[in-house]
Amino acid sequence: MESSNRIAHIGVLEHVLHHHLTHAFQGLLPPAVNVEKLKRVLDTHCRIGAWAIDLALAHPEVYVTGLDSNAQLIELARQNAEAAHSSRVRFYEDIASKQLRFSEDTFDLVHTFLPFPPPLPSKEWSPFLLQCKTYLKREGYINLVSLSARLSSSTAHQRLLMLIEQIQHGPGYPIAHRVETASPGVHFCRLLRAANFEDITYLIRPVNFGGWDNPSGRACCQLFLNDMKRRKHLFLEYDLVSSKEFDVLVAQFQRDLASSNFCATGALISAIAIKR
Amino acid sequence: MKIRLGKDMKQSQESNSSAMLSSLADGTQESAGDSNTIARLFHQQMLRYQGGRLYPERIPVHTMERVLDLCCNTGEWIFDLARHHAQLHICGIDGCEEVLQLARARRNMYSLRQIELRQANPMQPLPIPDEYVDFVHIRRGLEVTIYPQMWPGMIKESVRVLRPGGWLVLVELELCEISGPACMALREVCLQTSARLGRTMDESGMTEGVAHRLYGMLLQARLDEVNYDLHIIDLGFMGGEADHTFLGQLVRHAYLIKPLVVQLGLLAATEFDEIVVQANCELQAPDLCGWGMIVSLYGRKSQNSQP
Repeated sequence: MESSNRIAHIGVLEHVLHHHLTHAFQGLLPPAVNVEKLKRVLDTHCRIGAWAIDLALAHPEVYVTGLDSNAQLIELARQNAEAAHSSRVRFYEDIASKQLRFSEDTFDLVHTFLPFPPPLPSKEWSPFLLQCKTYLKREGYINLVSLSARLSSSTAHQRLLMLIEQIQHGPGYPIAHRVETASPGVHFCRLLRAANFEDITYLIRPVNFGGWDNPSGRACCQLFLNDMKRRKHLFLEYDLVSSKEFDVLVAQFQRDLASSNFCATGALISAIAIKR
Repeated sequence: MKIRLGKDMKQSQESNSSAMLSSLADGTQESAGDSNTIARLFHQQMLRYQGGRLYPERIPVHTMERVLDLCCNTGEWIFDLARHHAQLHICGIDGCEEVLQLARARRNMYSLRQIELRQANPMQPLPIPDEYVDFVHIRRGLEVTIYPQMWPGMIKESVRVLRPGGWLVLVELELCEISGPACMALREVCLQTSARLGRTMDESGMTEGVAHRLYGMLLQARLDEVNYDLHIIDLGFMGGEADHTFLGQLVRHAYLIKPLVVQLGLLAATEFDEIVVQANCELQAPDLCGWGMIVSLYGRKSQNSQP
């Protein structure tokens, strides 16, 4: 019972996150994508399927396939599709896009949204993009989207964000030899160019997570906080923080989030390219 | 990010490191022409990313009489405001006489009698009566508020000179992420240096941390209708001149504080120089991508407030 309640809670917050980010992005797709050309769409990290379902509902000629490695999220996605009476959406559990194989030239658009860290490890980006390219039809689009939440009035929030950076870079990585920034978003264009995609453009939109009159933004932060708590073992594994210190940070962030003074922002970075 | 320090402010500095920063600033003053060009470019880019808005849409400037621009620098914002609102009397205050002289020359050239320019320390009580102006504007106050704890005083003083119902607007920016590792390293070393001097509000050293904390300060100053607008600064290859304006400033600022960076042991001098060379190369990369955030915060003085 407790487990099913938790999943339902995740579902609600994921919906809030999806709607908040769609509003911030001013739509489901960047203007560079010609929606009239879309018939089959692949969402590689669909979570509860909110984007996939909304896209299918908004465009009656579009069929969407959603993948996620989390079986519980896929189950939620299927329930959501049923509730939305959307028969043009299919969801499959897929471990790192390796188990499920599609034919070459299947999709008109591959959409990848990575809202939470950690992103794909750097060495996995290249094979991932090549695989996406194989599944794409010629003239098909790839749209990589990343959320970068870096700015906050909460010291505990900032500290937790910094710890995430450290997890991604490895502890004690010297500044002068830093090879990457934390969020994958600013590297999308370079990665797409390396994978020989063409007509690469990007779009960056601000996202507001704070303010006294922004309950959906704060709910997104709650989702972020819940995700951090779930990944506590990672912080301890890298020996970045003690268990007690982590708990103090989480409790402080929770208090800050409840305060009217809370102000936090980030950016949605979308990089779009075409397979020629 | 040019550092401008008035004499009074220098006296208030306590640490040796801060004193060193002051002397560095004095020793590397840009020429008047450079200051003008940099300020103009900066203003144009800020305006571009704010959708051409000089102030948040919520502010009813057409109904106002008096505006105060605190930390006005060479007056770029003032001249644009005067161009759109001939009815306004606009007072610009800055601690730096050199930049004010540039602004005065421009005002006199165009006979703009609606503009008044005064030298005063923005950290001290302002030479303006209580409840005198309709709108106080402060952009990049971070450049003069040497220590974060000075912000509440500056906000309090701004609220004092505001008429009941008048508006206070604070505009700050954060450069956040850049795909070039050397640009990112320079940004981080600048932040770390500022953090060591106690000039940032973000203890993690990831950001300056000022823009987002000002929101709480405006609420604590008992202003009404406190809110903020967000605008992205595009630092990538699609951002046009922005990468060179904002990232160029980052490189200039880094040069300014290089001795301090070395003294603090953050980087060796040669290491620093290599990063700067690499950062300049990265600005030419065809897939350069990055972003910053402009936060435009505002609040209204209560109609019922007591002087």
